Amino acid sequence: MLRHSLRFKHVKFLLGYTTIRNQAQCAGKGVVASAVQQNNLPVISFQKPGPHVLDDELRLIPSQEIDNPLVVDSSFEGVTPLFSPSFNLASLVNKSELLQLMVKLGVSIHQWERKTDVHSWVMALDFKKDVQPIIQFLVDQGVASDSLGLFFTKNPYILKSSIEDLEIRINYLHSKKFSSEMISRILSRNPHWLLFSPERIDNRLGFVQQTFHLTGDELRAVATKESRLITSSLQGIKLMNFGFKEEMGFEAHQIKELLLAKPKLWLMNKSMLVDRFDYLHNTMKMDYESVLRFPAVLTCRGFRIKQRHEFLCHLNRAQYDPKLPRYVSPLQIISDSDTYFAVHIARSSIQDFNDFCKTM
Amino acid sequence: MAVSTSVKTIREAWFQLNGVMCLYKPTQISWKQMRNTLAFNISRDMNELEQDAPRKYVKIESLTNGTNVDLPAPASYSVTTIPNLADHELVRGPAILADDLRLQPGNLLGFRTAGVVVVGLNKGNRSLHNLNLSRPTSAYHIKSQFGLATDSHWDDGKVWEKTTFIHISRDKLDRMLASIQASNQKKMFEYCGVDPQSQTAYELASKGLLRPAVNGPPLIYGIKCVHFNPPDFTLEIHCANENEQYMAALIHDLGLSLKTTAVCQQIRCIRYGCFTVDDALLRKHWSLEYLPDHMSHCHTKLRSLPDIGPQLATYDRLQPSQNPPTKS
Repeated sequence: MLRHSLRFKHVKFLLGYTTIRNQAQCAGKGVVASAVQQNNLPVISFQKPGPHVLDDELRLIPSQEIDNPLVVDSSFEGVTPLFSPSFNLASLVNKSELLQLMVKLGVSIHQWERKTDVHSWVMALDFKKDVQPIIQFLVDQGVASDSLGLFFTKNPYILKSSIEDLEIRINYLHSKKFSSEMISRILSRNPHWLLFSPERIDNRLGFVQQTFHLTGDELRAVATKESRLITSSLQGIKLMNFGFKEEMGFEAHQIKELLLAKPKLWLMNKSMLVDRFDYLHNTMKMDYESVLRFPAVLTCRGFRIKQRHEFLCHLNRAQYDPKLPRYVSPLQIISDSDTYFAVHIARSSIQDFNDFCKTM
Repeated sequence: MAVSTSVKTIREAWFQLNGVMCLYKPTQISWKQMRNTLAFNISRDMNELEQDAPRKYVKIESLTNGTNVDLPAPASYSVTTIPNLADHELVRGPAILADDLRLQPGNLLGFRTAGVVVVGLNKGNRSLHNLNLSRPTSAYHIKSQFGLATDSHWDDGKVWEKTTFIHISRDKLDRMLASIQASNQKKMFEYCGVDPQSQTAYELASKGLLRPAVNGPPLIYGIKCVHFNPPDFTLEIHCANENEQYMAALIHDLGLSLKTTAVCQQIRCIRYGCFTVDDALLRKHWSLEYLPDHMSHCHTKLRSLPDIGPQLATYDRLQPSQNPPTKS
């Protein structure tokens, strides 16, 4: 932005200096330093300036080579800067076509300012040359046009990418036998995927495949179901595996089953997950098979499970053995509203449930 | 919106966001987490209401192309008025931020304590401050267990000691609790500089004025056992200036004085001043759908309190005609 406001031609007009500064002239300039040693400071010698050029900043006397400033410069565009310095993009949005088009797409400019440094380069983009091809590319790959706003909000850096890079990345996925539907799902759900080079993606896919001993199809299924697993921390995956194996006591084939059913678990906070499993297994006496059959219990917030389980215990209805009557399945514990749960599963009323929650 | 169907815009709703509320704090949550959840919920619900219309942006564009320094200024412009995009939600950001809401707690409960927390919102903090000046007492239910001593005085701490508790009967416990209550009440008079046997003490106590003027050591006004089923038992405590550590240590000391050991299982605040657990809102109801009605209910409750003002017993406040207390 500031660059726009200090375009050389404006400076030229204001200071009456018409010839364009080029490399040759810049090289000849230098700061005039005092050759006299003062206060025992070391002498710094610079390149001696040419006879016709003085310090640019303090240019007071026009030299004979400079043209008459009253003559019209054909390439002159105006005295005011295009955009004055600003501390947010909101002040520029009424004048910038690019930002207006972004707002029309549904991009949150506010989020850009809060979370990224996009403001430092976004104004220099040209819509037809830079942005339009990328929008077209994404729509061709299957990203829905009304979710483009969210896409650019989360990942504005893709506007800086070149189309060639993006095409190489998509070609890599095709070469690894990802279908078009898979690719469009990956891109829609994970805007950051395209920022990763093919080498990095390849490394990560390989890591996941080797860690869990997945076949090609299984790997593709996992990458499609939860593509954020591939682009987020690999260290986190290792840590979570430790949690499943050592802290929770799952076996390797069970961990693989969990991954294929609910890869989202690997993106969660490990200690929170271990605490939840601890409650399910040790307090509610839920065995490994039940958890594997209903992995969604691990994604339900701890306090919800606690409230409902304790309420059922209070009513002597906490029966989790499928072979016995009045069986309550784990899915019934975690799903539906409190009202539905209180009435249909606990066979009580929502008022009793709320009163019970206040005794916890 | 529960308060009235006529409130549709953020601007109108903002003026209703003043008051005192009584919330039920879940266990294992700090005040900071509670405040953040509340502020986030309120601001999220507020931002879904109708926004203000955007300001107008007047665009003046020259209709002639280019300019020549020799010619005079062009006479024709186009003047259009468009909505100012700088006021668009996506550009400006949300109308209400969580930081815009000033939320203050009336009583600070510990991390593991659940129960009634009185919270002031924006202008309601003034009412809350006045409530606090009257030094209301709190009531707690402490579920405890005989036979165990741990490092944290809670049942899930590292076990130091296990003891028998068969010798404890209900009346032994009641006698111990009565002596705790009596010694606390004697302390109250001492803090006021008044001899508990004197007439002055009787008069002060009968007016209900004996409250600590400043934050000091915890004081127990009443303590009794409401549930006794060894090893489990539940105490009801009415106190002021309390904190979680004190109550857990109290249970531990109680166990020791009964020649056994005891730990806490659950500490629950059931009353703060006039606000009880029945008034408190559960976490799932901490949203704009329930809060305005709730705040007006709390407001009615506060208004119905007798207006005695912050009368605190100190020796200086006594009338000059009254004799200073003498130790008997």
